[in-house]
This record gives sequence, structure tokens and C-alpha cells, in this order.
Amino acid sequence: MKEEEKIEILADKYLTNLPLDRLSFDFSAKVMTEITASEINKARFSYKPLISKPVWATFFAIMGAVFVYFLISGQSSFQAPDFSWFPKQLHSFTLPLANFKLPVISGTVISSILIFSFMALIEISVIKRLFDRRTTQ
Amino acid sequence: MVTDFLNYFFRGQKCNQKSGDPVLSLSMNHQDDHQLIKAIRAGQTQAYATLVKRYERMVFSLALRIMKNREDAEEVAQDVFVKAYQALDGFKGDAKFSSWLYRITYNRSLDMLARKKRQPTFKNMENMAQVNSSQIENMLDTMEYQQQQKLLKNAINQLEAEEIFIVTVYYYKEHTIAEIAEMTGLTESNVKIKLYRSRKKLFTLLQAMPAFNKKELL
Repeated sequence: MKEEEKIEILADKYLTNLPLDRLSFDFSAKVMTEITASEINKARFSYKPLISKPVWATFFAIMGAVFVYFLISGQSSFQAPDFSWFPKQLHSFTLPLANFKLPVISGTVISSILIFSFMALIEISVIKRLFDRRTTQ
Repeated sequence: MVTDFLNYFFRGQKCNQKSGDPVLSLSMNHQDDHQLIKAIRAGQTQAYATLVKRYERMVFSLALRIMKNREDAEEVAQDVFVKAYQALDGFKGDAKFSSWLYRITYNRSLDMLARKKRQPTFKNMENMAQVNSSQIENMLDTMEYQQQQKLLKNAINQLEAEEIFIVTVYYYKEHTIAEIAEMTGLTESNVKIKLYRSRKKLFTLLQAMPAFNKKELL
């Protein structure tokens, strides 16, 4: 028999039976106390965003749609949509909308709002992670 | 005869070592780790106590063998269980919970060693002597059980952290080579090589111990 095999048999015989070390009797109680304390702490200081994720998603979808609309149409300002294709019976409803005029917003302003919102979103997530780390330590 | 009886007795005890509490292990063995994790995720925080009981001794033993200090090892073990609880949502369940827990233990122990700037003393053996396995076997068999265990533990403690981890987890007979490879970030063949080298190193160290000098024993 090779030396390698002999050592393997020897190790199987003696190392498999090696008992594990014992720790203090109240170890699990200590762990659970710490966990309970951290849970209470978490509940007390847990981060709850003012604006939920679906709301943010809807907001960005609308912003994106507006951005794409301006990009495709090539317009630099918002104009009231044309409701002439609406059925005549509904004209009384669309009339106020036709007269409604939004303030003229330049493309630069829209772009800067978008960039600012994006940066704010990143910053919020970074701050959240930092806050979480502090409360869990 | 006495040694055989003691070996048999302690071998019988080993089946309950995992939980640390024989009564608890009997009642809780039916619930597997994943079911307990499900319960914890559903808000039953106390279910985690069962997992702690089940793995505390292995986690502590790993930490103790790497750290070589009871207080530090207990601190590491406590930290491991708290961090594991906090990161439980990130546990996907593809691997065993114990694999995940032991990997955390290994990394935390190494972190603690680095933080304490304490380099463990291990024997770096470039040229290992020939192991006389039959002589080692004879000597170990003639020893009292307690002395035998003490010597083996002393030899393990002189291995490197990675070797200690591999030997301890492998001979606990709970994980495969593939699982150990995943825990340590090594390849399977690398684990096999390290296991072979660790075994040889361990018995070389054992052979060199004063207790193995026959004259002293006689």
C-alpha cells in the first residue's frame, strides 16, 4: 500500500472522531439577545423612502416619454395637442384643453431637470446604504 | 480495550454534536435548515436559535482552531451568527446553509486575525519527513483517549488557516470536496492537493511531538 493511502486511512480513523470544542453555555442566548436588539434598532431607525419605487418609476416613465416626444417631434416647446380628430359631440369637453397653454420650457431646462433628478436618485440610494450600514453595526 | 470502548462511546456521541444538545437535535432534526430559514423570513426570529444551536460548535471550533484563542473565537462565532442573520435575505438556498455559514466563519476569522495583526504560528514544512503510519497508529492506540485528542488538536493547530479549515470541514463528514472548494474559493483539485498535504503535514508534526518519543512514554 502506498504511503498516501496509509495516511488517508489513518486520517479517516483519527480525525473523523475528533470532537468539536464546546463554548459557553449561554452562547446562543447571547446571539439571540444581540439579534433581537438589532431587530428593535432596525425597526426604530429603518429607512422608509418618502416616494416609493413605483411612484419613481411612473415619474421617470412620464419624464422619458416627454423627452422622447420632444426628441422625435423636434419641437423646443410644448404646444397644446390637436383635438380636431375627436368626435364633434366631444368638442365641448376638449375645448378647455385646447385653450390651455403650458408655459414654454426650453429643452435645456428639461435636460437639466432630468439630470438633476437622476443624480438625486443616485444620492438617495448611496445615503440609504450608508444609513443602513451604520444602523446594523 | 478501554480505548476501543471510549472510541465507540465518543463515536456514538458524535451524531449529536451538530446541535450541541441531544434533546434539541432529536426534536428539531425533522426540520431542515431551509424550512427554518423560511420560518425566520416569515418573521419567526426565534427559529434562528435552532440554527445557532445546530451549528455553534462547528463555527466555534473552526474559529478557535484558526484564532487559537477562546475569547477571540467566541467573538468571531457570535459575529458570524449575527451577520448571517442580517444577511439571510441574501442567502439564495442553492448551497447548504452550513456551507454558507462556514464560509462566513472562515472569512471572519481571517479578518479578525488581520485586524489583530496577529500572525498565527504554524510550521512551514518544505521538506516533510516520511510518515511512519503504522508507528503512529500503534502509539495513538496505546494512548488514553483524552491524550490522543489533545495531541491531534495540537497538531491541527500548527497547520495554516486554510489547511485547518479544509481538514476540519472535510473530516466532519458533512461536506464534499466540491462544497469545500466553493467555500474556500479554490478549485476541487486544489482542495484535494491541500487536503493530502495537510494530512501528511499533520502526521509529520504528530510524529515529531515529544509524546511520540517511545522512551518518554516508557
